[in-house]
Amino acid sequence: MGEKMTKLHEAKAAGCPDEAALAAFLGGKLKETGTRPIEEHVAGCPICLENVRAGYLGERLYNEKDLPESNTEIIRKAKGIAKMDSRKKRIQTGLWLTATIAAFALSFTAPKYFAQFLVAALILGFKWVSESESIRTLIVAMDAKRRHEQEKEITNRISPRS
Amino acid sequence: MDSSDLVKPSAGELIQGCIKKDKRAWEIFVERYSKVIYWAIRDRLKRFGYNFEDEDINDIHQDVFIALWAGNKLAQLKDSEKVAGWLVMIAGNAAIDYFRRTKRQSPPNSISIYEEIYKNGDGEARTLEEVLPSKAAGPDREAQLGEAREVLKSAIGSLKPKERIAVKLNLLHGMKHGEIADALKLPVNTVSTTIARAKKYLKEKLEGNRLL
Repeated sequence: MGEKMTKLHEAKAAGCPDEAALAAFLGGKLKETGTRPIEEHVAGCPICLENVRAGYLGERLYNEKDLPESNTEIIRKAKGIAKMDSRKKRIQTGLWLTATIAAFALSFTAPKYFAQFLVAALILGFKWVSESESIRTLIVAMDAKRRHEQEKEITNRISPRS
Repeated sequence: MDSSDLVKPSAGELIQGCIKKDKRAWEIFVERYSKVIYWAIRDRLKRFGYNFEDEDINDIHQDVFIALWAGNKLAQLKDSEKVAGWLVMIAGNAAIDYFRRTKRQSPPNSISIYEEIYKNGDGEARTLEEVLPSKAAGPDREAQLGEAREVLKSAIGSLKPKERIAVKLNLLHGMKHGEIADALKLPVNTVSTTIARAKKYLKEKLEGNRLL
């Protein structure tokens, strides 16, 4: 997976602006000083010029919802990338949890180092909480709920019921 | 988190969700942008004249999404409103790299790209031969076209960068004046004047070399 990721960067020749800079150029979001070197480059680079054409056309087709269907199998596979990644994460968070419990247990079995093991358990526990998918999801969900409630309140204020 | 929490999230919210490795956001992101990525891969392979099968498109599609999720490439995006155009460029470059890596095929080089791209073009684009037909026929035609290409290359090279982009997008990529103006954020009149002036200049150069 890692190899594929790095290789994707090789498609562009050395010295080509990255896709984010070209997209900003297309959107007219670059300052005058940033535009000139990109203009110079695009004018002489067939691949970047092709990227400008395709980027413009693709954006338009996307906004007009005028694109041919993709296929369900490749969509399923692409969605699966996140699941593959989360399996590794689960193992990692499991390790943090085990280490937390071990440090906590040791703080009682070795009273001489009680404070040290307790601090270690706290640090490892914090790491476990911050890496845990379900806890993070819960935080995002609560944040989304809070945002929806705020939006509802603003809507009610703008158009109060008679 | 339930998917109803993310009903029609904005592109910015989705991207932020994916960067934070939210799986629901990722699923919606894949559903939303798979089509444009699929289109971009096919478009690039067709225009660059690669021989490809559906299997190649599927592999490139997966490579792109791996780079976006595992490579955290989405964090590089500066303007989330232009995400579709950005993804098209990422997918196009990934397609070139895939053919270079798996089939040892390079993209067309800078000089022959005109002929290489447009011999399998989409019908709207034209070759240099079509843009500036030679009067000569038979064996002389090839020699004259070669000379015309050289003259054009040097004449186009002497234009200002923005003019060069506009002229190439129009003459070689078949884009209309309005589309170029929209893409380069220029007034249509400016683009039309620039292209007309550049065409006149190129014609004079070719006439000066007795190629027209």
